Amino acid sequence: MTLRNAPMAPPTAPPPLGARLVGFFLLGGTMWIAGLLALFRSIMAVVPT
Amino acid sequence: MISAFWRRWLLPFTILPLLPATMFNLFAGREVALLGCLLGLGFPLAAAWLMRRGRSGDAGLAALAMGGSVASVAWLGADAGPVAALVLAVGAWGGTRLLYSGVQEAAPPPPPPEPALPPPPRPLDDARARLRGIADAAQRLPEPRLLPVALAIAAVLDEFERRPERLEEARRFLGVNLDGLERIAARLSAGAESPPGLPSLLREMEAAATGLRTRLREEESAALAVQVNVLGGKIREAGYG
Repeated sequence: MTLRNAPMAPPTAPPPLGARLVGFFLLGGTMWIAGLLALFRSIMAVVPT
Repeated sequence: MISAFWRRWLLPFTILPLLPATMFNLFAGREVALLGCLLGLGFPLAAAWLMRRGRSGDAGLAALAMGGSVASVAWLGADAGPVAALVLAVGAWGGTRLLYSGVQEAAPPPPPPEPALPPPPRPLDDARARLRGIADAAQRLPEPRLLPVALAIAAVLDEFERRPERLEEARRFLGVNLDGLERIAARLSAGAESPPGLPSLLREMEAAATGLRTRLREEESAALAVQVNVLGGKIREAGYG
């Protein structure tokens, strides 16, 4: 039985923390991969094999 | 809600992994790759500016800018071809979308406020408009006595507007003085020569207006003096004085 004046959960959804963490690591990982890829390919293009 | 650090400072920090490749391409003299790296540095800064602005739709634009940054680095900076650039760009775009999902964006700016309503008309506004016309005409006429008369009548109008119960008296006064002054100004504007009696008439009108204003003020002062006397007597009678 629920009381009529019992406090209820706020109607707003909690912040999507998991999605935010996934986005953070996806963005950061992509930037690192792009930066390292550019560095590696630049070095490989310059250094004569 | 997202904190200011995530909102303002995260995106500029994402250019850190691109700095080594940028420096290497700068020193190696590889112009196209350097351009790609510089574009990769510029897009995140633009995205950070967009997130700081925070208007509706700016989070989507910031995600597109991050995708463009990674795409330019991969395609131009790393010469990795369009497929790899597209894959990395989609990763950065999706990451930014997830990172800023549910971010609070400012509402579009409110419409400009409506212009303030004009003040309500006062009972003697028509007389004021006529006086303004007389004053305008007096500045063009060779008769210098018109303007002080108009100013004196305007002062009387101010006094009457503070006493709405005496508007009838004001209308009688204006019916004589303002009509006459208007006619004089109209004749003079039409090119009439001023007769010899006109300066003395204008002096009389100015003196009448000034006297009426003084009389109105004296009446108010006398009424206040009576009030003060009566109230003082009542206070003393009641034993408070």
